[in-house]
Amino acid sequence: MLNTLSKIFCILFFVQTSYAQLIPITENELSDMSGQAFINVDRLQTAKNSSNQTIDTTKITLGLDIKTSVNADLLDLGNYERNGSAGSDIRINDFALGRIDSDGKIVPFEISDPFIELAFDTDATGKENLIGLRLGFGGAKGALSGNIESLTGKINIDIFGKAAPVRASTTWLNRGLLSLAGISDTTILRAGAELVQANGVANPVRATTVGIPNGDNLNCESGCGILTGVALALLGSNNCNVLGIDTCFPIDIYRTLEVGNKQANGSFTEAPGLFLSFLSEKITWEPGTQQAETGAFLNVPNGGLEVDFEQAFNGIERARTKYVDPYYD
Amino acid sequence: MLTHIMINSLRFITLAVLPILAHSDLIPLNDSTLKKIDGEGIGIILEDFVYQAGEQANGGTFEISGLENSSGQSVVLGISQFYVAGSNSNRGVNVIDNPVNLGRLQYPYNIELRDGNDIAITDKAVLELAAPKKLVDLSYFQTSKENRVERRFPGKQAASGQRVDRITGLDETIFSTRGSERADLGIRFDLEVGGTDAQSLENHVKGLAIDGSYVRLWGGEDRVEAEVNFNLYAEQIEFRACDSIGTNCGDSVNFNNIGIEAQLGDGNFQPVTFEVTSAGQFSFLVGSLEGKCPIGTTGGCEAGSAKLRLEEYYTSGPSTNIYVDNVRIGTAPVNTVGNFGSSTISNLQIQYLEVTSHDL
Repeated sequence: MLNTLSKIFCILFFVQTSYAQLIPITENELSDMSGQAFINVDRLQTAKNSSNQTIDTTKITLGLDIKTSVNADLLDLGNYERNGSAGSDIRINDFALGRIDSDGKIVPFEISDPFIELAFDTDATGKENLIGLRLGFGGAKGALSGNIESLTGKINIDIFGKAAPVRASTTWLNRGLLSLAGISDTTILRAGAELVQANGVANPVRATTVGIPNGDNLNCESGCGILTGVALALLGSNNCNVLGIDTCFPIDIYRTLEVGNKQANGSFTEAPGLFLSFLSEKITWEPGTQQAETGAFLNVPNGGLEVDFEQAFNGIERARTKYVDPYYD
Repeated sequence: MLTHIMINSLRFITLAVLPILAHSDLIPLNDSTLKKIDGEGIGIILEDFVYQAGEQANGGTFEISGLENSSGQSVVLGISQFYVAGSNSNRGVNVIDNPVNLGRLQYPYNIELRDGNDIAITDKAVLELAAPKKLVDLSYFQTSKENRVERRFPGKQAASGQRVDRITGLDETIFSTRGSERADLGIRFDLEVGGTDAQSLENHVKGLAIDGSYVRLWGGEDRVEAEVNFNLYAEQIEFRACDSIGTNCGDSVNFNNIGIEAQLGDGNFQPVTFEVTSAGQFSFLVGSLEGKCPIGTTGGCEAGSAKLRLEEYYTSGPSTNIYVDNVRIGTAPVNTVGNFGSSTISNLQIQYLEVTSHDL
């Protein structure tokens, strides 16, 4: 008896010296846990359908900051026969986000607050018919590289710089006319370019060309003569041409595009508006924005895509995107 | 009697003192010891598995609350149905009598301790959690390649080599074999905004298989590191909206015959890590390739063994392929508005990815 008691006493005595306990969390404590506001869910009535009627959307936003550097052989979205022609709504070879600088540092592509938004067209019986969705980002900045073979979307490029490359690209006769109009090599001109067909008609569907749409003008910013404004106003772009100067360019010569809001010091901040949508009906997602086309549609925000006239004519050099990069090594 | 008490006292003293004299510690097994352990692992099979939750099925439901919209109103996601069943569940209608086998004896889910040296995770003991193996240990994607001869800018060096031109298709035997092991699953969210029922959102996945997926975990320098292989093959993923009892549903968006083969991380050359900060936020990292080689004048690798390792990474390292045979809204016929054909992301390689959460 004593033998058994001594063993039990001994075991109990020494067990008492350990203080660690696993204590379950009570329901009350658990119920105090909140969702950290990491997810927002919105029912919105800000989008409009192709008939300009307000439609409902449901938007789920995640509170995330993402920095990345990726490369892909191919991004090919919406590969089907459209209006009788085979092809893809969006097709980009050697696609990359982010770049590597000359010191070997990764300069990541940065995005924040990604969201998915579903668009509904409600019919007379109250059915909410899903007519499309988009994957978007609250903000984005960084280098987007690739050889763009086909693009359905919105890319507005601001062409801004000295007129010398413009003058150099035309005939001596037209150069004389430009001089008469007060446009010298140092005159600063500006023009807005967007996705167009080869004849200059603005068209965001399966575009292979970016340029000044028919009827739009070059604008003089500084160094202008007395007649410059009048002359430029008379010379709208027509069929991708102003005074013998090409105003449309293959989009695949722009190998790296900087997405974001360009600051005065040349740096970039995140810009809202980058999204990719799939739609069966044209939708204007937010007031004051360009209507998104049916099919796959890539919307690149304004503000960062600024090139000078030399870049407009010759393209933008692709940035290094790999440590062993066939475009460099 | 006295002798007996003496003996027992001695026993007591011995028992009391000996543990004090024992100085043995619990010493963690190091990686070189652990990696020599060669178990066959534990195979897990769930036969005739069905899961059904939600108010429709059993009177119970669960809610995700504490969410807000951008105006600060409360949002509640009531999950009124969540199911895992056999294929042909008809969007969760045919669940209880329609079980699925998750794994089978020849192809079970597996938990195994592996020698890292066998799987390119040098000198580490690796815990592997794996879904059933593929029938053939190859990618299910068929690709065609093209020669790349392009310049980064006029007059600059021409890039050569091959790249994927297109994914010509997905090996659809994945959708016609092992039918009893492919699951249907779905979820229905009843969305309530500011105390008002807004809509019911449904997501249904048909014929899902995750064959060949695995997570490998090992001890890094100061945290757990991982390598993730995530494969997903499904006959259809569907999104649609209905009224609160799942009727009067509108047109849906369908992603048909989907394949995702995502490889994240490359052993201890490029580990994946996951952390939760003291502020309750999480951070997910796919390690950066920065600093993996001596840098030349234009930012690339100088010649040497480190460059060869990176060449190997770009040639045959971890990559992600995504292919959707058809994206369709409603019942739009082929090559009409609303039927968007195939979509592909091919040979996507992540050199660096950092995802951190924050409050909205």
